[in-house]
Amino acid sequence: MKRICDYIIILFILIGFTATGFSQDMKLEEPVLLTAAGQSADIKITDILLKRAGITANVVNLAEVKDLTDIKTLIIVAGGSSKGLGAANIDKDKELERISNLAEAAKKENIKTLTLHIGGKTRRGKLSDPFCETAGNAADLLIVTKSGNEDGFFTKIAAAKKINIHEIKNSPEMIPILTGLFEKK
Amino acid sequence: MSKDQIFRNCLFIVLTIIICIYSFAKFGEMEEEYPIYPGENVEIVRLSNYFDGIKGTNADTDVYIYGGQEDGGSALILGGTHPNEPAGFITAVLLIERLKVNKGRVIIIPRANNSGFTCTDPQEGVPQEFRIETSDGIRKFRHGSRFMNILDQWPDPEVYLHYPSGQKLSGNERRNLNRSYPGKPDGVLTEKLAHAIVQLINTERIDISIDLHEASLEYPVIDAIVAHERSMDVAAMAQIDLQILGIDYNLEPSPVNFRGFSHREWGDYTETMPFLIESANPIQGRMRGETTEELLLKGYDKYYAEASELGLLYTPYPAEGIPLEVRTGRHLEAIKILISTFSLLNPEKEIGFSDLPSYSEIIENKLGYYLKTGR
Repeated sequence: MKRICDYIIILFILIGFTATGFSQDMKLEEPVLLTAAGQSADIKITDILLKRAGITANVVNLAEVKDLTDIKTLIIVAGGSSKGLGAANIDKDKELERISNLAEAAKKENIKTLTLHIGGKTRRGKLSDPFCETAGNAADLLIVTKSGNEDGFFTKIAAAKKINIHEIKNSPEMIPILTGLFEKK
Repeated sequence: MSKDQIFRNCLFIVLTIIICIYSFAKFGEMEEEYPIYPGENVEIVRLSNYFDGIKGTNADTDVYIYGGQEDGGSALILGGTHPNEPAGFITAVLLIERLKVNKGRVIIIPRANNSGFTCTDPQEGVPQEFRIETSDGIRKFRHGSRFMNILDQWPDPEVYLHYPSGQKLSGNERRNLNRSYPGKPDGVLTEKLAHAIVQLINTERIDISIDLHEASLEYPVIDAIVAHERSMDVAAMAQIDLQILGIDYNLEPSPVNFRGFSHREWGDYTETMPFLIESANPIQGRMRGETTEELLLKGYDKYYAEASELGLLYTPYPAEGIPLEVRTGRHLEAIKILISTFSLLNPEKEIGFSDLPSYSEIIENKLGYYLKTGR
């Protein structure tokens, strides 16, 4: 009898895990719109990784709501760059507003949002965290590097939103995850 | 005035004179240039060959040209733009002493701001030199100033107006080589130096140019490759390959609206593909404690360790610090991968080279193992 009870407990634990951290990822579809929250050059790295995964994205650093037309997946690369914001000639507040509007519009249109954070510790802190928070809260799925999530910043967002999070050691580890999500061979 | 007072006054004057003589002699020592021992098949020319406006000045400097047997592309590597950033200088020295080029050309300027090697930054208390143990004795290297020596370009204006943009910066930035590009042939000495480097890039038709730097750990652009928009594809691919090797670099775009930088103006005023590389150097930061040769070499500072725990830094700060080996190894690996990636994407301009140690080899064997002894 005790053994049966143990099995039942283990079964409940497994069901619990499946419903939270280990649930199946959603499937994502092309066309993809790729944008940056904070204007870091991590968007360029992501574009190359997407190509290596066989995924073509429309890359628009300062994407607006109109760019969502016919899009099925929105990918936001989070992390602030003072040089990038300067290069794009946009300030922090306007950039945050742009991302909020874009994420809200994507939600209304049932466009799936994948938020990436691949810049590690350097893309965290005073400048980056507001972008990470806004882009993280907009996400249906998160992929982040471990060094950028040492304090559990993204894990907490994922838990609060009850969405899946993939922690990777470095950005190239994202390629097999992306091929799986987009069902590429 | 009593005899006692006269004696004290005389003693004070004598001590002052002794301190002045000692300081003057120490400052004068900075004029001595420690040798670099180039490898084989190198042509050494002066930068003034490309613009004679710097001939006979402290801005003129040696240019080391390595050419391969086969035709190919050409790369320029600059160390010592800021002589208080030793990893950039030592990486250039190591290249000069080890590099073998079999295809194309690699041109190296180790003391880009030669004048800055003849002084240190006032009130920073930094060492004037540092020593590296080689297999056959100690070698000395200069540690200098971020700026050109004020004796070579004086006085500083209240406000520095960058040419040709008119951008305003604080007055001392007029002596900062990396705020002076594209330079000005009839400008102040730093502008002339910048112009000479741009002339070299144009004359030698340099395809890929890499400017080596370091930065303090509380500066957001750290452990980074800064790339002009023309360089972005190569930089992004190189960054991914570096990550696969376990070397994390951030990629930063060169701002269009901040002028005077190598990564901006080289791209706008020449055909080259420019990159700037930063490593993390605790001796440059404001949070540092005792400023010693040991800090420069070992890169460990207890206050930075504390700052790291408090989350105040933009880069990981390992318990053992960030020694010069790590910073130089990172630079060297980034150079190799940037040039290889460029060659992969531009096979008609391939640059082939060999005999450079890997990042892990430099960490394992230490820097001195790869530097020549001079004997």
